[in-house]
Amino acid sequence: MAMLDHEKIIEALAATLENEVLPALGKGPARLQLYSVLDVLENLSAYLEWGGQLAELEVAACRGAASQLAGLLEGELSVRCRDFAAKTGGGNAALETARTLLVDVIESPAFDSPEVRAAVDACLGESVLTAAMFMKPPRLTEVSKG
Amino acid sequence: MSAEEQLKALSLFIASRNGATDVDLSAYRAHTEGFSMETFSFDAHWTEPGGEVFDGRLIARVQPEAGLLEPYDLRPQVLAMRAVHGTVAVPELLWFEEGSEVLGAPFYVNRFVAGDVPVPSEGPSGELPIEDPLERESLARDFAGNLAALHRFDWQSAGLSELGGPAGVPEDGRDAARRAVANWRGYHERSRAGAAPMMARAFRELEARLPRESPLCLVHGDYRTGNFLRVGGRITAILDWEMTHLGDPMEDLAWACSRIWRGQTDMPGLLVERERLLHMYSEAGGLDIDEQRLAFYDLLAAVKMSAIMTTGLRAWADGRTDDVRMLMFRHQLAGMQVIMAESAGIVGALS
Repeated sequence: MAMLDHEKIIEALAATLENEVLPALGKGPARLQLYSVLDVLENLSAYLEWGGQLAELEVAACRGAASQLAGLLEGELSVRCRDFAAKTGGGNAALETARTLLVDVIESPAFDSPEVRAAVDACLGESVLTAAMFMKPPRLTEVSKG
Repeated sequence: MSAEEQLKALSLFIASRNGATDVDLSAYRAHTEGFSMETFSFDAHWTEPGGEVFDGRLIARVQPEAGLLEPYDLRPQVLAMRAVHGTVAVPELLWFEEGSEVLGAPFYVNRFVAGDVPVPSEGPSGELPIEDPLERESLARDFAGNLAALHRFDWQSAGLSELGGPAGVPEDGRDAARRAVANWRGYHERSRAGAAPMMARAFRELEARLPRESPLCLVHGDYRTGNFLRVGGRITAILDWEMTHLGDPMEDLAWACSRIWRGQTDMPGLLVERERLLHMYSEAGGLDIDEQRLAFYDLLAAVKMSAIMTTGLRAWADGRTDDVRMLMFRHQLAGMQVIMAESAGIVGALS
């Protein structure tokens, strides 16, 4: 139903759990599990809203790097970079292709070249910073990290 | 096994181990604060063959089937905890059972130690887990002192060569570093997390930065705020020895100082500033500080945490655990990648 978007549903679930269920729980295991559920729900909401866009941004960053790398690399890796840079379209398949290509470049001897390293690092830096922007700050600090 | 069944099985175990009579176990409480071990505490009463009566609270830690550090093996942590008891603040270990007949998996029992566990995260408004600066200073001193004592511990005389792992004692610090990288690469690969460029980049950087030489010592492996018990400003016990091994002392220091446990502050484990903590460690007789090796192990810390997270996610995805806390790692990985990128020098320090 169009009137019920995912974000609203998740918000309602989280509000019920936090305001109605949580106060009724003691300090035991159930409380910790509920905190985790709330944390996941909050971030799931952000992922549903922005996840697609995030993937597109990472693919775009990789295309930029691939275009640059095609001219710096030789042989099969250069061809793969050129092909990927020339393609359009995104989605999970493009993201997986982009990531696999970057890993292969990083693990190749060509990565010893400062220019290759700089192109890859610029792409990685952009991708990780963009992804982190979409993270919700952890507000549920009662959950142990260890 | 239900709580009742576990206590009944333990009663029989204690009676058979001690020749104790009148064994009575009660007041079972499950502890799920930690991620790795299945832990429960209980009140215990029994009469020794000589007539001496034991009355006290005990903790049982049972090896889990799946989780963040799978595959599990309790033996290294038991050896380490037994050896350093009296030197480092650790709970006294009473029994270690390597078989699965009693509780369905290997376990150990130790004396209950009083205290609470401050977590390395700030509150919703940025409040610190320990607000009193004097208390933080005192805890930091105990924290550094226990670590210095651990690193100074004569593991060779204590017969802890086994903690070198299946490949034996590392040849030197470089060998230990190489093994540490291989170990976490193994975790990462087994988690089948898909192509991960930032991890590949970090592994490449680690290989380039392998320390040339360093001393070997007994390493805790998870030394940080969140893994100690305290009463006020004093540490009563260092917990969670699952990752103990022989390695470089900088590995523990880098882990303790990692941005993973700093929140939005400059204080490792939300205790005191990094320089202050390092100074306290040196003052307490810790091994020589080496910033280059610290930087190597700082990057390894982010790699290790990411590998732990994807291992937990894999266990959940494969249905080997139903602990929903594992799912939090899915979004926390994004933050870990930033820490990794900072440590590798790919992005500038963000806070």
